[in-house]
Amino acid sequence: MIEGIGLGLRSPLAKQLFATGPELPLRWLEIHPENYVERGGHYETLLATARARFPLLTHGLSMGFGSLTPFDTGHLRSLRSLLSELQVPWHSDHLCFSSVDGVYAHDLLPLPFHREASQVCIDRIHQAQDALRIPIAVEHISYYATPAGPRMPEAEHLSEILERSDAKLLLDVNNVYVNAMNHGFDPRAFIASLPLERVVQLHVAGHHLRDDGLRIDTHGEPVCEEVFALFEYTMRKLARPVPVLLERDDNFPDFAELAAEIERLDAIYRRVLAPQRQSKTPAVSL
Amino acid sequence: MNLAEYQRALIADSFALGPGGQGEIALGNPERFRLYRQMIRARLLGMAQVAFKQSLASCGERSFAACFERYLAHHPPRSPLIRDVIAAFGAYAREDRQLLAEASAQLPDMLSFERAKWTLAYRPCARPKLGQDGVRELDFEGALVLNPVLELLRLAHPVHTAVDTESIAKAETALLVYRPDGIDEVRWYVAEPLFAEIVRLAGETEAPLAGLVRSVAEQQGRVLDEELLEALASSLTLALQRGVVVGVRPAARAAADRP
Repeated sequence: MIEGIGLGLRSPLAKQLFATGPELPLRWLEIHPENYVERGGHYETLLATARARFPLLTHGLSMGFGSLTPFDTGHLRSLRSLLSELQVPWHSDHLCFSSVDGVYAHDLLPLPFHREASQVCIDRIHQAQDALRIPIAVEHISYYATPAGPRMPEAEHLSEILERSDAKLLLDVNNVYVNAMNHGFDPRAFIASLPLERVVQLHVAGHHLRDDGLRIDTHGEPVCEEVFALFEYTMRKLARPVPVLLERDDNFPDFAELAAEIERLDAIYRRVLAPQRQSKTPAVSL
Repeated sequence: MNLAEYQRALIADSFALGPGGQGEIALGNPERFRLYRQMIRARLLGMAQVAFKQSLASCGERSFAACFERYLAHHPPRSPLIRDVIAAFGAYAREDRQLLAEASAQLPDMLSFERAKWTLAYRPCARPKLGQDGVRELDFEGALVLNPVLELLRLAHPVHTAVDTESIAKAETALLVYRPDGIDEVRWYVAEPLFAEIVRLAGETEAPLAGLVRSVAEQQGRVLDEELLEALASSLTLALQRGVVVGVRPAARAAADRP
């Protein structure tokens, strides 16, 4: 059972990450499988070292559950092989689109919040579940624009997809905060309206605040106070142990700064769960 | 605009030449729409700048970025793996007349060298091992078994020596670029012409090593005398030591582990 605070396995962090001792409450690592499928050399070694030291979870970047293009079957085969080897309890990827007509944007592009888009996501999540043969968790993305036209609230769109696809939810606390600030809604009300029983994992990250007030989800800044607070709120709503990832993908600071963020997240996590642990609530299971 | 039209418009706009923005009708906020174009392009260009650092330094940021823009417009990414997209840029840039017209004569070689380093760094493979699957110590009766993580580059300029890239004089060079078994870094060295051609043919044929040596010597107009055989023995010893050559195997089974 994977729970507690995790960190993304990134090459620039690897050396210090593997040198950490038990005093750092780092319980697991997250990998992007695209960095490891069909890949030898440094990445093969990195993965082997990580597996020997930490439990792993996988978080994909290329499935784009809202894409209209059929999955690349070769890539799916490679992915399935890796996930099977790693024996991960679920695989997560994003509610977005990232390719069309065989052209890949290599970014997470926003979907409109309407029925046509949700049906595409539901069908594709089913395809992914069938192909990978493990549960799928979906992450809602940060978005900066959506197409004009009729739409439903994001939380309603997300909930419909989760319910009808029977997918799990990777709830990204930073994404909720960034979207709430950029699009003007209450982040706590958004979280409270989601089917939280489907949450299997959380993400927490930093973002960049532009001069014009727009917040960009960079994963390259320290976690801000508001996101720490929203994380605590989310944990109180969940009231059960889940794996929580500190995402840092860019602008890497001294490892001590990341360690301090991990410790702070862990302190919140343990404080919130202390009453539940006393009453022995089971950890998330599938 | 339906879902398919919206998705096509956003991706087409992201890779189109020019300032973009043709598809902004699809979104309520054109400025935010352009943000996606900027983010997509910045991520890909940033990776290309890391992979082709020497080439970038040689041709300059502006020419490099302009070539990358043309690449995205003419060959938008077709792989779900971003590393493949970056590798393909190296091949595109090497043939991009506009870039080559602006750049030094060394640039095509730099692009080839850096593309080889980029792809060999992560190429996965099943490594042939001595004593397994018929692979044995080197002899002239067997077919050469090469390291599968290997490329032979024919360079007009020895760009692998570069510190100051502009000062490299023209000199035909056969460069073996490879990743040794059990080592995570890509290495390279210059191969003697006869040996380089043997390596090339060994990747294409199942002929015994002795036959390859005879045919390459004949092709290069060289006499198979004691001096040449000594030089060849040195090349083979070096290749074995460095992990470019693994050994030999019976000719009929030699095709399996080709690079």
